[in-house]
Amino acid sequence: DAEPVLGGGPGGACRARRLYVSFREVGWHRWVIAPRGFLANYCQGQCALPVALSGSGGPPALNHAVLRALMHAAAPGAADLPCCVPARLSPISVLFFDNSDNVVLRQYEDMVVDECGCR
Amino acid sequence: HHLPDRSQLCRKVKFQVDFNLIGWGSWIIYPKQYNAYRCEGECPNPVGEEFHPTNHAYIQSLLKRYQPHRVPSTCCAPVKTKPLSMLYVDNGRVLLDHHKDMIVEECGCL
Repeated sequence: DAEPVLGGGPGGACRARRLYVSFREVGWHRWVIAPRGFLANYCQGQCALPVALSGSGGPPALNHAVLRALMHAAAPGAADLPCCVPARLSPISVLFFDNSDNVVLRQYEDMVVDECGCR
Repeated sequence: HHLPDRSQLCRKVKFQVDFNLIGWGSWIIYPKQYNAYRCEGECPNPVGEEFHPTNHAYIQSLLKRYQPHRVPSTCCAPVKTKPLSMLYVDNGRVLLDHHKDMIVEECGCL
């Protein structure tokens, strides 16, 4: 889903960025058997107008986010810009040891960012 | 890295939206302004349950804690919203309608 960031840097409009997370990196490797990691992605980018209005091809922003961006444009001291956060997420399946050392296969909700939006 | 003091953490604060100020006053009859609330503050790493993180947000906050340069912190954003009833003019007609996601009810780290 998420395209690789071309040219790096946190700039540009709000959108999903590619990110692979190894479970070792977050200390989960002791109890997660498989997979070793997963494509989690993350959200980054500006929610200034006009991006905050249309979501640049992604899901529309919350009405509240649109108002916040408009208020920011009219009176910058009154409100900062809305946040670029996940708008659509997917699950992954994880094989792990539970507290009694049973091997369990479970679907973990909301693990992968598919789309970002201004909220 | 010192933790932000509690009053600076992610929370709901007052936020007055003024429709005249943003140029919508000519077609919105009522209300002319209202308290929309908004989300403000820092998201700690790792993020606790009190900030209603998704699984993804929790993992991102762990990664931020251990490898700060790889990802941004999660962001303080609405996790629960309410609609607002508005009286407005549309194509010459006066309408009363519920517009969704107009008021923040709860904030979290996403």
